[in-house]
Amino acid sequence: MTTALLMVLVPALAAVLGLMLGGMSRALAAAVAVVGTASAFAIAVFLALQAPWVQPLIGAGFGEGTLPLGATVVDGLASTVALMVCFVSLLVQIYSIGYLRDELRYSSYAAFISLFTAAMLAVVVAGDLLLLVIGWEVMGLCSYLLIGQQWEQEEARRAAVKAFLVTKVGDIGFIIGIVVLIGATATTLLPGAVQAAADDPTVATVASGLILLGVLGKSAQFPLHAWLPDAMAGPSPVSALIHAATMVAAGVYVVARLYPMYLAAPAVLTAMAVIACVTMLGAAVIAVVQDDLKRVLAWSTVSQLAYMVAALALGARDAAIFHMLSHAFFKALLFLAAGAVIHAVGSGALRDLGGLRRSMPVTFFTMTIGLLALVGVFPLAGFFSKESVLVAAEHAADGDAAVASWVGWTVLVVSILTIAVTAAYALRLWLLTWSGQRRDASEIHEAPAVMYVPLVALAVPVVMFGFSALERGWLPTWIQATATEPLRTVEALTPEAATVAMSVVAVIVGAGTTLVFRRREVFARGRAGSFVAGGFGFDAVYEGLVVRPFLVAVGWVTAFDRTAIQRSVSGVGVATLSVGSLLQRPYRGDVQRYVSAAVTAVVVAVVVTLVAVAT
Amino acid sequence: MHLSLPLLLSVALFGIGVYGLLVRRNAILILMSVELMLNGVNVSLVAFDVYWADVLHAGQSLAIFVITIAAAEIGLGLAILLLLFRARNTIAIDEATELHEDAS
Amino acid sequence: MTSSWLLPALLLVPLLGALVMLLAGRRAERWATWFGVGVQSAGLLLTLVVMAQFSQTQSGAMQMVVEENWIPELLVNFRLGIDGISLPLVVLTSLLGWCAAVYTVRPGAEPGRDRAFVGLLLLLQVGMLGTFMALDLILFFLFFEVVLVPMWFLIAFWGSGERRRSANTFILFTVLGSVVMLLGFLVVIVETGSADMVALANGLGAQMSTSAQLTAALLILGGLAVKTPMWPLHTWLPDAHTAAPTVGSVLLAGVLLKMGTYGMVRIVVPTLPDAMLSIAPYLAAFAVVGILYGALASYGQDDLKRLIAFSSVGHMGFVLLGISTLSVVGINAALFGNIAHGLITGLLFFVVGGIKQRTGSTAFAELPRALYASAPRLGFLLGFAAVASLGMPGLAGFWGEFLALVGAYHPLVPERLFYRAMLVLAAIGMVLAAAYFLRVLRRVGQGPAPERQLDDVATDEWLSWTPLVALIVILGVAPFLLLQVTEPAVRVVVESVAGALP
Repeated sequence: MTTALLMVLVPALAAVLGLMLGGMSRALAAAVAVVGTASAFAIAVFLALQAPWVQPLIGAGFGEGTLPLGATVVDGLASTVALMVCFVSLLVQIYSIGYLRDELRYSSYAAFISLFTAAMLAVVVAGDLLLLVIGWEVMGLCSYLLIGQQWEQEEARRAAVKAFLVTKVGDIGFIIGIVVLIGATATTLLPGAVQAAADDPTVATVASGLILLGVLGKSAQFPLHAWLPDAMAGPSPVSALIHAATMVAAGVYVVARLYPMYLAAPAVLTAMAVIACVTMLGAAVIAVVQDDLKRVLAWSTVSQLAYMVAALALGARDAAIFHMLSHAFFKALLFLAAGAVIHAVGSGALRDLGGLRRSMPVTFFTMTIGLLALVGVFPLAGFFSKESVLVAAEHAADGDAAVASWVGWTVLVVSILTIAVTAAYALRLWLLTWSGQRRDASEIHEAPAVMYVPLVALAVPVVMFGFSALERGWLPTWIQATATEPLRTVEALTPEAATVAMSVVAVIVGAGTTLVFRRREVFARGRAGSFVAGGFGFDAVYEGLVVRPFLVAVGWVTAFDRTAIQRSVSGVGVATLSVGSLLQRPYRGDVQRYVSAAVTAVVVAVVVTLVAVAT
Repeated sequence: MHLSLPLLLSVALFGIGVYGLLVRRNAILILMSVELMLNGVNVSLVAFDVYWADVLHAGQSLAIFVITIAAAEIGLGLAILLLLFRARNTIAIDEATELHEDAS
Repeated sequence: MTSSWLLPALLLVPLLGALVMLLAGRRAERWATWFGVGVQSAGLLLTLVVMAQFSQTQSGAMQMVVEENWIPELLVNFRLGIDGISLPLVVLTSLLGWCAAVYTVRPGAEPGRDRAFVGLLLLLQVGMLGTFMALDLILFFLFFEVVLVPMWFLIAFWGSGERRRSANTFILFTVLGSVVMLLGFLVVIVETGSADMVALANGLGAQMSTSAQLTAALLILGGLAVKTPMWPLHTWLPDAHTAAPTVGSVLLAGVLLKMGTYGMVRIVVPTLPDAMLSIAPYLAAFAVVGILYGALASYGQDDLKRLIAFSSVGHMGFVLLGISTLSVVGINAALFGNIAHGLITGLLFFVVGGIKQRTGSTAFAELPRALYASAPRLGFLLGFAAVASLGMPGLAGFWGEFLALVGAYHPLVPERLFYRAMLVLAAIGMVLAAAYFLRVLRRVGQGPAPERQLDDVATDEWLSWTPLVALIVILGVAPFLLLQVTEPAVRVVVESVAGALP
């Protein structure tokens, strides 16, 4: 048992305990959940103290010989992400105590959050592909359970199933990809498999392409993005967890973990870049016309994840991870703040909000920081991380990456455009939530301390974290030390003047547009507006291409089973019975008649035989 | 002794048995007829055994086999008849036709 | 060997139990179910002793072999023994038998005539255990058949709905299959002059001509495929499950279906390697059709028990796919899948039986919604079993399916590309399985707040279900516990096939 495995098992155990004992009292359930997550956090800190990660900690799994399971790899990358995961999860757990004060099923909810954390940690420290698969799929399950937390509502039930099935569609690819990787490299250990795959371009392309499908599902990229906005049906802290620490981060993280294999497959990288560009801009545009607080944030997550995927496609893994971490902090902050607003107002619809600045000062202050980070304003974390992606794009455009330079140019242009759109929807969201007048006279109060303390705690890294990536910061040294790649010289993730200038212009343009059109608010949007807000009608495509054919096939098979097979079987039966009823006519139950018949038959047979022999 | 004598006895016994089996209505008499048939066969078995001077004495062993079975059969048969008589006060065989199949 | 009395004892205990139930007077109705628990507990204890005596280092070889002359003139002998392939199934059978016995004690679990019910269950146990321990073709056939009779009675007398019809379909299909299988056995026995499964597997069978092997393999596989059931011979299964009483369903799905796939691994693969190499791709195709068909048909069902029955068709498809790869990984996957399916589907049928006992129905249209709220623990168990059944990694159901896919990537058979196509289709089947189980949970587990509460899981139910839950989790996080038992034995089997490769 390695320390890293302990970090996974402690929250998992907390989940089991929570399910078993949580029914007794709310306080006990909360205590188990918080203590479990806090212990995982403590272990993560302990692991992080092993820095500067010259040597990754590789732990063997259980079981000898046949299918060992639970090997772990803790390197700088894993350790950093584990810290983030535990930190956010802990805050979400604490926040949930307040947010779900009146929830009937709090104990199972807290247990599922613990399990979610454990699953994500399993993905993070996985040193063998099987542990990776376990974590990956259990996460999907947890998202299903948590999104469906309020399953009395049809919307929640639908969203939960949708989240599970859409990501599961991607997982067809993921599972086959892992099978190919194991089959082709004959090992289940992650570092070995990745290196072996990286040496064989065919295997690398096939495996990474297939695994990419799973990544698209988990990280909500086009065309498997549709579940994430619907996942808003879950409670706000769940959204914070899914959008920041777990689930969506897992997709990006897995690509980073298997990175040498991806670098050996330029075709896959190019595909990733194209998908990222489509998702980035498309999702941002959709976010502009949403009329629900959480939906705006959800689409913004899709868009921001595309930045990470784009960075990965351009060979800039460090930038991707940097953005993933900083995004985790500010997006968790934003969702928890949104939760506080919804908790206080009782609605997340933007038309019900407005004028909350005075009544909810802490939430107002922290959410503003979060939105500024989302837009990428100096000196918040979002600024540095987004700039690092832009720098990577610029380098790729100059031809310094594994992909062609047109890919770099495309990503650069689309990223800048997206920054403008991001600024537009962030400002719109801010104005509609906080400024103006309250629409009704009801009294609004700040959230309780158990809820706003996590907000403040998250605001700290949002403000400070960006600096850690600079010249003498710790972040580059950490995340560039991985078990799957040889050591290389550490590069700082410092912004460059040209891209900073471009993004500043973009922010000003975007924010300016919102200010100009502010008076003509887009609630009363036309048909085009609804089309965009509905995700460019993508659900209908899904309906037509996947759901409808599936149901048709189900109908066919069911009908076939009822008629063709069943009838052929019962046909045989009926035929047998009718022949039988013919044959049973003479049998009237009189034994002596039977015997007479038998004797007659014997006599006839003997006579015939004798005659035959005689002649 | 010539083989034909025991064989004639055997045939006579068997023939009487078949006759009784076919025409008698009383179930006990039918059982007795069956017994006659079995013993008719036994006679011929033993006769052939002697005639062929079989080393394994298959005929004799089979005869013993048949006797055993006959005993078991009578035991079971009488038990069934007893129950039949208790249930319906008659052992006329042509009145017990409940086992016939309804043509469906 | 000192422990040679163990295996016959394992058979004798339930057999004597069944005899006692037969001879006991009417007064025994009162203690019949408790007597069943006692006998099954004794059997389970004996099984644990067998496990303890079993040498894991030599699990590739037959152990605790018992050999007695029986009818040597007909080449039939009484041979029992276990190795790494059969031990897990023997343990599974004893465990499920015990769980079933404990469940039967529950008042109202099965309607009336306890004496006969328990006796039949014990007789069933004899047949199931014997099938997994027999080392002689005719003996195997005998035990294989012994199982059918008590099962027919269980369905026909304790079932519900169209129970007679279902029981008759069940017996007609399986007896027909058995006859075909017996013909195959006779071909093997006549050709080789031996019915000793070990000798046959160790090269005696491989000496048969290819055409004789093909004839025998097709006949035997045909018989076993009915039992498995392989698409399109599955039609008896949904009817039988729907009609069968809870305990009958549990044993039917949990053990009886495994007898088919066990027979393939034990008899067909090592005894008839040449034939198996040429049949395997077709078997794989049928398996994959079964996976997809089972998943799609499950989605279309409107009765819980029928749905689970069709899901069994899909899961057994994965087992068949594993066997058809003829690789070490694939056959291990098949054996793992067997055990996992037995545990999970057993639990599912128990839970559904619990639901039926409380609501009186298993049809979606008549079931109340929101089980999560009206009986949270029962709802949790339903959710747990469904999630395990849809192949969640970390629970037992996943590994059988995943390893079958890994096996299909590297089959022993030359048709690699074909197998990769099958791999992709089977993986799609895994997602479809998720779809129908989520539909069940959405329809039964969730929903608007319920009007009335149902009785939640009772102590006796916990007692009989907990071992299954625990094992599903344990095998899910530690699959090697089972794999290291089966692996050496599978290696022996696969080597015999690999020798036949051109």
